[in-house]
Amino acid sequence: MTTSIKNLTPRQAWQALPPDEWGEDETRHLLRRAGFSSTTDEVERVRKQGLKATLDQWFGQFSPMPRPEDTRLYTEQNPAMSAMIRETKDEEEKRKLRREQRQQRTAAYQDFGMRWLQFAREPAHSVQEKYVLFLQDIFVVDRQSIQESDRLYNHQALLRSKGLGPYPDLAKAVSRSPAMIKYLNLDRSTKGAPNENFARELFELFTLGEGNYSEQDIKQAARAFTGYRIDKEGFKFVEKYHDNGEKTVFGQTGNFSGDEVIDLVYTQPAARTFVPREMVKFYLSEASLPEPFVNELGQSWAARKFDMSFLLKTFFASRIFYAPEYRMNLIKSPIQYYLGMYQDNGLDIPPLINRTLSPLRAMGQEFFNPPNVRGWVGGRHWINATTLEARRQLAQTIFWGINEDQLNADALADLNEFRAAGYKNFHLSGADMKYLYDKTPSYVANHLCQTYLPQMPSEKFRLYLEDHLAKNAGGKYKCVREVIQAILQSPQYQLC
Amino acid sequence: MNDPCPRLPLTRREFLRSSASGLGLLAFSGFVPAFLTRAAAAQVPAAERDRSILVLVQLAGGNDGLNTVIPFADDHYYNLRPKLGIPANKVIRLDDLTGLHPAMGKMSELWKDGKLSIVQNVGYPNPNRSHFRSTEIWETAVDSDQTTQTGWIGRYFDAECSGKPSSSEPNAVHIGDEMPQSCQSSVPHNIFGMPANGSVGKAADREIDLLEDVIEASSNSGNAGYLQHTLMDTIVTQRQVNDVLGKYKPLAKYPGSSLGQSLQRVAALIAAGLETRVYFVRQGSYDTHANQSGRHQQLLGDLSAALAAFQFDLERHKLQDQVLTMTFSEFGRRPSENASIGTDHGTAAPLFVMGAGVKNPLVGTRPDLNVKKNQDLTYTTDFRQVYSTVLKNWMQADPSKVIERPFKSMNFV
Repeated sequence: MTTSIKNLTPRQAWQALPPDEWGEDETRHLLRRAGFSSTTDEVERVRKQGLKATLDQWFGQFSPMPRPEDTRLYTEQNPAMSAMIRETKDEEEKRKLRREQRQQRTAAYQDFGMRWLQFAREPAHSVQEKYVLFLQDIFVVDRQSIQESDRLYNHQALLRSKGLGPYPDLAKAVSRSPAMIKYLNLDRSTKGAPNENFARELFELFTLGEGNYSEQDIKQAARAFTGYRIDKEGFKFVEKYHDNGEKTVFGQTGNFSGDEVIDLVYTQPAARTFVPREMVKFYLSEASLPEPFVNELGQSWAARKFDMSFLLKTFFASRIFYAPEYRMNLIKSPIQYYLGMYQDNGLDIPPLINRTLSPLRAMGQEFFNPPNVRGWVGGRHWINATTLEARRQLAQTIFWGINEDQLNADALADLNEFRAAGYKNFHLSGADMKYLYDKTPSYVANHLCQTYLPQMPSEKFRLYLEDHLAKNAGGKYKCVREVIQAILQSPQYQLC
Repeated sequence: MNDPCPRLPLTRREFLRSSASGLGLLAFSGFVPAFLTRAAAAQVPAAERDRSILVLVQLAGGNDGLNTVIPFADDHYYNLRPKLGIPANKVIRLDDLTGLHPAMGKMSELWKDGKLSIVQNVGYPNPNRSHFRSTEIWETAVDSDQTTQTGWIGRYFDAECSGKPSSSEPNAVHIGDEMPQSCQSSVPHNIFGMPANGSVGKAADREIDLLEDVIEASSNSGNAGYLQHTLMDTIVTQRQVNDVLGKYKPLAKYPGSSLGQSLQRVAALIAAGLETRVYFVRQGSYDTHANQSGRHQQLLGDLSAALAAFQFDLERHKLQDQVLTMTFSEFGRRPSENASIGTDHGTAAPLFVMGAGVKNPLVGTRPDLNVKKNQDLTYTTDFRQVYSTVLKNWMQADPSKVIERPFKSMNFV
């Protein structure tokens, strides 16, 4: 039995979980919170491997995600397309070309979204990609403003490659990310007219949080970030747009560069607790922890030079992370509900928009499309009649085979490519469930609850399922399918 | 009881009728939606006929305001639009200066009967010409250089409904796959979505029955309890809505279009006495960059026929005093036509307010068309002034709790 937060001091809270408290339930909790699901195989593997070894493996190094082919091609061909549009005189023709360009751009974005889902669905990548989602929800950019999927891809790749190092370095790298520069209009910022957008979000949403800086700090810091530009190669610093004069930020005066402003941020006490607080909200609990607990974690993080792999390992190893009050109380995000369901059922991601990006959109978390610069709020905000209906439908669609006759050439090509790469299992068929047909209703109900739910549901819950199976109305396939569906739609399955 | 599997009553009223004490149901079900227990405890149903209802109609894509409400006496108009301008003799004249597009005959009748008010030249400062961003500005109702998570309808619910018992009947109903940002709120409210066609919540009865069993099989608190309630409310509402839609007999002929069908559904729900205060429907797609005439004519014809049918239907059901309908679009279009006989993204445009309660047929000032080629209109009425008016005069709410800056009420309702 793990210890409640009520019986932990802030110092004890962040100490590593004693090895004798590391059991199957703790393993499941870790897997669902750090990743998307806790399948039997993974639970077995991770429990045996041990907590420390697992965290060292997860947060030692991340695997890069290959650049999607469509994104690469689009990037390669787009300059020629743009030139053609420029040179075309006829308005009607120009319009047509622009439409085509837009379609190519959308196709590249959609392809990126589907590939990412496929990448994140691999159990070996789930933890790192969930963490990338966490960072994406801090360093927000969106597809509407960025448009070009290579910039989105590069931004995400940057979060992945710098995400385990010191956070100030990550923030500096993000200030040079073309997607971010475009999203917050940093490329329009000049000495004469410094744009405050980036400086404001840097303080408010990336590093310190509201109330920990003055308007004057923003104005002065904005001057330090002048001269950041983008060209074909990526980030470029243009001296002549940069304000080289003296600035006063957080009471310090000097001829600061953008990087130096970020260093100044990390002399501020608020910087120590901002990221730990975000991490608690994303991985542990919608309600924030009492301040002394967050402070304690912030202090030790600061002592390790704001190293993210230290923070992650400390967080997921801590006694507080396993405290009983934080089990099973977090509402799954649409992406977790989606990927978890595919993992739980051993299914591959179908390379079809209407099976991937559309349901995510209907559930309220479209790929790289947060509602605004604050990102997704999450928690109960994920849940309303519309999004629940979308979740319910998703649980139905995993039983639907793909009707290849109705696919267009592009979709068919994607499907064949996925199959050639070994991804074939796109829906839950009768063959997948057949092993249950000769078992007793009570066995099947128990087995399915164990497979899908993080914790055994009430007796009554299982009895309803048993009854449904025992009636056997419409045959075995139909009954088992309906029971699985009901479990995947149940309130319990929406939690992790 | 003959029914071996007793169902939850469809409406609160039906429930209250079903047992004299109002508590019978609690005896045989371990779990009932929150509204039932509260209503049972209170023993009195909330007044259902004296509520004002707002229906929002989004004209998505940016409606060309100048070819909708036409300044046919202004030479500038024809100079800016040599090909797209609607000839003065085709325009449906409202007065000596202003007319409606020829496809809007039905709306012109509403206007003549005093049931339609036109708010002219509506926009906002520092206009944004991106569909996405400008829609967001209209839905969140903040300055164009600000962003916020919540929409104006959501904030209205936050201000008016928090602390009061929530009901299983939705606060707002929208038609379409996604919840409009207008309804996004700080605290959760019951926002229900449904398609324009087909049954609501497609699933076989036995699947829903099983899910219902599973939901009520345990009692939970915290997020689990929240999910349990919301899921149950959703299922109850879906069943209720399907039942209402199935039984509804419209007393007007709606167009078969998505907008027409959406409004027919709204009328059905209003007639059923749902507690819902706000309905949200969409009509697309007004993004007429090329060969605008035919497409725009068709869209406006559909809008006109659908709105008129809706209003007529409400009247035949004697519900017209309860409902106000308002259109909006993310922006109007550029005054000068482009080379593809279409129009590009612009700024200000008129919006329509329909209902038995509207006061003035024409409010705000007409757009000044003395602009250079490719120059945009300058708005003269801020859309938030329109929202504030609707909130204050129609919804009887305090606009300062919803819209950050104070705006003077207008006189259209």
